[in-house]
Amino acid sequence: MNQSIINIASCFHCGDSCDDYSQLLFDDKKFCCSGCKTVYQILNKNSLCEYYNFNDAAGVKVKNERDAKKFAFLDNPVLAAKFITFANQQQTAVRFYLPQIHCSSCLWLLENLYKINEAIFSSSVNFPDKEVVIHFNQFNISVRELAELLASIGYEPHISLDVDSNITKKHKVLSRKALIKIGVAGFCFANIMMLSFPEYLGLNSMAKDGLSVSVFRWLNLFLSLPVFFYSGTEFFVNSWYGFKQKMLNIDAPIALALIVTFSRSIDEIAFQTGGGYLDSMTGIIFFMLLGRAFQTKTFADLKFHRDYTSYFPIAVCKIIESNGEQYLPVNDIQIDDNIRIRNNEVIPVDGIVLQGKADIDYSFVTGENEIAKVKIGDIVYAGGRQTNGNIDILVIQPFSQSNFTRLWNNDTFKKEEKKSYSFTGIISNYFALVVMLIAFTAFVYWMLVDSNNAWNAMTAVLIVACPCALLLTTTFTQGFLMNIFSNNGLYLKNANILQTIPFVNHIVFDKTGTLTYPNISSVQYEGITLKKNTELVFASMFSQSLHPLSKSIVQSLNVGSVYALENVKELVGKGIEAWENDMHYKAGSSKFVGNNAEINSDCEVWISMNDKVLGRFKVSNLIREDVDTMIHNLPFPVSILSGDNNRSEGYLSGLFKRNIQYCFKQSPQDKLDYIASLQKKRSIVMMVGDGLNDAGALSKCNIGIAVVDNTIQFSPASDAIMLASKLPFFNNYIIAAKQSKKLITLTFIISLIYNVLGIYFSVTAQMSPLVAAVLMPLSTISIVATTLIGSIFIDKQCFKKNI
Amino acid sequence: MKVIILLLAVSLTVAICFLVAFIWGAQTGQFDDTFSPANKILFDNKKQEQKK
Repeated sequence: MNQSIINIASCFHCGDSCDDYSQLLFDDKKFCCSGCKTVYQILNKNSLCEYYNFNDAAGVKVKNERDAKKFAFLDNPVLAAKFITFANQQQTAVRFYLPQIHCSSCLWLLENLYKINEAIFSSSVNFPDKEVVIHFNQFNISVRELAELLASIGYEPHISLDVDSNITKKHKVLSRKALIKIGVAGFCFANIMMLSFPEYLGLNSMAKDGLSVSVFRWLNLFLSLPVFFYSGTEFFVNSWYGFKQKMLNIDAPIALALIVTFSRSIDEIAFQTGGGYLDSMTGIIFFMLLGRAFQTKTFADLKFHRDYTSYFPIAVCKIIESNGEQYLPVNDIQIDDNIRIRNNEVIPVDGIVLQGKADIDYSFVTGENEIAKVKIGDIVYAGGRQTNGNIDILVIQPFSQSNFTRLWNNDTFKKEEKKSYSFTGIISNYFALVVMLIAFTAFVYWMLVDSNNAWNAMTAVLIVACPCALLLTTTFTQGFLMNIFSNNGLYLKNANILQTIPFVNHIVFDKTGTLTYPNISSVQYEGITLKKNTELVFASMFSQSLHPLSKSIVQSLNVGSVYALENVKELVGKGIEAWENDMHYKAGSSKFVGNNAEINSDCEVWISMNDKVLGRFKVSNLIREDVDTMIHNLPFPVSILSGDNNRSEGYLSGLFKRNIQYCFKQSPQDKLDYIASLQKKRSIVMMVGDGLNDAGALSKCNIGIAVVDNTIQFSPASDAIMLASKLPFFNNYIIAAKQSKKLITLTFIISLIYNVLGIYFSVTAQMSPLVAAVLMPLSTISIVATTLIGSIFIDKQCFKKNI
Repeated sequence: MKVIILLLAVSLTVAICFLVAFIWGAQTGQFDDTFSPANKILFDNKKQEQKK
């Protein structure tokens, strides 16, 4: 079975294609990188290779370089305690969140951890929550070593401060309760339906002794008690809260209808005048709860509400005078502390560089894709990412007051609810008013004509025409559609977002990282083909250059290891030159290499050898695949914002072939202001962005969508999260949202027809039990069926064809 | 026809037993993870072989 994988050159561990596996063969198996090979070796050593038998290429790709001290902070008992769920003299249990868990192989390996290290007693996986609980002997292995062990086999624990074990636990208990409520409601509903059959068939009049019919009725009443008093409580509680804040919320009409239905049913059963409407009451509660369960399906691994604190490392390494290191929680950093920032760590506080090469990548904050070199003695700001080894800094601002938090002090982040455009909310409010008016009019009319009918008519109107059917429509349709969207890679925070999408009339895209691949620039070489050793010299030369383009060129040359050249001179603004093996190499602007004919452009680097021009490198940020046609076809005005300079404008407008508003050199504040200015012109703006530098704009706009490459990745606070690979199908989501608006309208009309029929019968006081019994379940079921079929249709039409 | 009342009582009792079983199962977390238990049972348990 495993042989088949080996025929095509794909990694035995993770299944990625591996063309150059000559150096990565082990046990006759091919690997794409040394990381995957190492994992295989560990598993092989511990005879755990059964891992590969459950699923082909089940492994999780391991990043090659891993900071050996990444988990060092877990040596601090206060920080480690956040992960410990239980501890006694003999053993300790920790809970880790491992977002990589995805298949039965993962499950098997993680439950066999005790085979790798004897100090581990047992481990158990919670699959939907992607968590593993490990019981271990705390004297033989530390929490840090456990985390490192998991990381070494490809399951690096996801560490962040908001993974608080208590919170996840609470959440779980709540959803269990919701499950039981639905179960109880469903059980009682089904039984009441069954016991109501004599009523439906009109048998009550035919029964010889009155006893048997009333037994059915009393049983119904008995069964409806847990539904009314247990399953339905949230409707009463919610509407009561709304009432206290002087608001009629969406639960209020339901609560009213439930109370009226229930009390009238008791009245009918007690005085033996009829069978009541318990079947439809329990049915409505059951279907409403079910619809809400669909809608509130939480995406456990996605976090929509992020503030700036979640961008920082959970602990920092403080240097103590006696040359020791100590790990402190970020909030405990004080002014004049001496802290060490490791490679690839985000700087949590403003500080002065004391030691090390500070090459700070501020792209997270500013969106500019260039690395700032900071000299010793100069200030580095919070939010930057160190990219060149370790540095030591002296803290000049505590965490909470750092320069970086300024953006978050903007009013936009003092969250007021975003204005949502929910037309169903408006209509159902009006509807509730109209129904009450009709009920009251009917009551007054029958009081004048025949007072016996008055109460009957009024309650019948309220029962039959309650807006439940309308609400049911929206909850179900939205629940189904949110599921469809999330199956297709767009995760919506809540159902209101879905209703707002059709109103959008301006889309703003961030360029860097959203439309382009993050960290990948495409480098094209034009000119005379370079020999291997010439290429090596140029690669070494570029690797010593400070110019932002150099790094991308070195990557594209792919020569392996470069070496340090001795005679190198960099002329700022012109280029770099080197003397090596009696040859004179030059790289830089076309003028610098002596090529006066060509007009220089910002993103070109020319090279020459002994003053003979060899060719040029063209560097451009690579636009994601198929995004150009997507933008070309969008039926709205489009703006593109970028923190970069405008050197790519010509390239972009050539690519998109449409009218686009470009704004370059935008700071996060500029982006926010741009959105605000659009909104002033009464545009409903959708913003698509990725980084922290878009965070302000994402929360200011009407719908903020964060683009991520995988769901584990960090994303700024937003209304929806979208997989970057689905970006080409952006238009499909908008069409689907528009279709769903039509679907909701259609089901609205259907339920209105039922309601009008029902109201007609009840106002004219000729609502027979048979009509009521048939009409109400029929309306509920047909609406649920319509939304289901409609959603499947939308799914087929908008997604199945392309995605 | 009176027998139907007896049948009703029996069927409801049986049904309520299942409802209680469901509530018990949900409360003790048996519906929290519907993936791992189903897969775990398929894993060969080589633990004993190794120890011997």
